[in-house]
Amino acid sequence: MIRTISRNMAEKLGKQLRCDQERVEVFAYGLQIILGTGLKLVLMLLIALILDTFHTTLICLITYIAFRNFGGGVHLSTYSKCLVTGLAVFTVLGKLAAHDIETGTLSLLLIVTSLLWIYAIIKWVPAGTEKKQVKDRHVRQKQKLKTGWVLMFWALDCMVLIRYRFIYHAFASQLGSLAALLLITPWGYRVANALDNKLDNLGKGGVRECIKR
Amino acid sequence: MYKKIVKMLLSGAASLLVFVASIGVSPNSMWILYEPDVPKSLKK
Repeated sequence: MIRTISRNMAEKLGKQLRCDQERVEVFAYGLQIILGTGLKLVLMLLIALILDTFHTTLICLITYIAFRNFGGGVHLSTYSKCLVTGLAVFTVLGKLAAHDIETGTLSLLLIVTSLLWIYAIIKWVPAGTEKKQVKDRHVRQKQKLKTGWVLMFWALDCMVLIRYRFIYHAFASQLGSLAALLLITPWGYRVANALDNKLDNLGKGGVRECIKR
Repeated sequence: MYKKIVKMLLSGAASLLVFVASIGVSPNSMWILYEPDVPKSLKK
């Protein structure tokens, strides 16, 4: 749907500005990014507001995006699958982060997550997809370095949050970081592929079969 | 006058879209879980 709307809008814009087809494709791509991301963020935050988990969901999302932006990771094959999965994951994480947890446990989780991230940066970052892969060695090194900086700032931020007992915020940030980490690893790719296939099957009548039973 | 303003706004929107599209093809992945197909003209 987003693709069709973007395409139509881009064609109208191209017609008005008398642009060639290549330029119209670029407009459509830009529109897909703006509309797709906008819709997803609005829905996620709206659900969080309804469930009274706005702060934790927002922190979780910001941390996730910060790592994901530089670290990369697996993507689902269609926008609707992404929307459904994204909404489900961040609703659960936002709700989970609203639980009380001891500072000692949070500190331990921070150390473990940081160590796992260091390993992931060395081994997998930037994790590509079929559509976009970073093969240039120099660019890969740059992305590793940038993700390393994100990790450092994030760890410092978490330490401050734990120190001043912003427990929910620290936990939310750690959950966001763990979600981004999982999607960089080969296990994350396997989970996403399995989910992709499962959602494909549901779309082909799986849901109807369930309702009939 | 009205036409001129509309044209200016459309040109601004077009520039913004080109800018966003160029960010989209950078090595950074700004997508949460899904990424659209990159147009051929941006792959060059």
